Amino acid sequence: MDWQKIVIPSHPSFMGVVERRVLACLEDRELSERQVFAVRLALEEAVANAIKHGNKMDPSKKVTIRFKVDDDKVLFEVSDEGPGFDYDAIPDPTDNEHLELPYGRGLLLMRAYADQVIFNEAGNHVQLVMRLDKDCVGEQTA
Amino acid sequence: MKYTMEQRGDMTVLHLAGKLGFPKSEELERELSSMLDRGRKRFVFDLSDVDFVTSDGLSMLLSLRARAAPLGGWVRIVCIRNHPYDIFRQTRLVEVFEVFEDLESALEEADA
Repeated sequence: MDWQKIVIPSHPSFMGVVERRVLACLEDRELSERQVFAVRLALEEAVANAIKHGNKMDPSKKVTIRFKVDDDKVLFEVSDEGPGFDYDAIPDPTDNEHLELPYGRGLLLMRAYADQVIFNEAGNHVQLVMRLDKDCVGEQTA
Repeated sequence: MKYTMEQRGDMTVLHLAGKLGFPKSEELERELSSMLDRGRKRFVFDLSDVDFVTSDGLSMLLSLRARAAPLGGWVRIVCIRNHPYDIFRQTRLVEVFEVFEDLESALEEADA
């Protein structure tokens, strides 16, 4: 399958468009319910971060999603028009001192449900790799 | 996300359905804020019909808890389905929220 591309305004109403398009391309893979959940979650966290934090909910700014379905994996690339962020500086929300903070779990969940999460240096582009040849997604430690 | 709300004594029970995540429900957040302003501080969230939870959904619950706790209140969670429960487990929030298997247990414990 070739790379597919979706460009959306930075508004949450467009999240469903992305999800439906991606899941449609995965229909013939007969993924388990758990795998579908993992794909939805990792992708949603990445796109939501791009909309909220990258583009500051400015609908004039775009989020670009590229994805490709291989035999054994699906790859996503999510880019925003923001300046990026220091993804290494995000505190671990599972640390006792951060456990009750009401923010900061998007990155954790991406890493928990995708097999690889790779940011560019600036932090305004992320690649997610999700293997389709195993069904143990969601059971990785955070 | 859809929701209904009911009062059970001094507890506010919210039955949520669908996706608990982004975008947050501004209407729900306004209602919850209004509840707190009126002195309501005990909340039970029934998630039995929630099939998808994201970090924004967790954020809403934690923010409410942070506002209710200083007032002597709390937020309880009921009936988390398998995959949403994984989210609570991955984030260790099963250690932060009291989680019950059914609504009546959550309400009984409050009365005890």
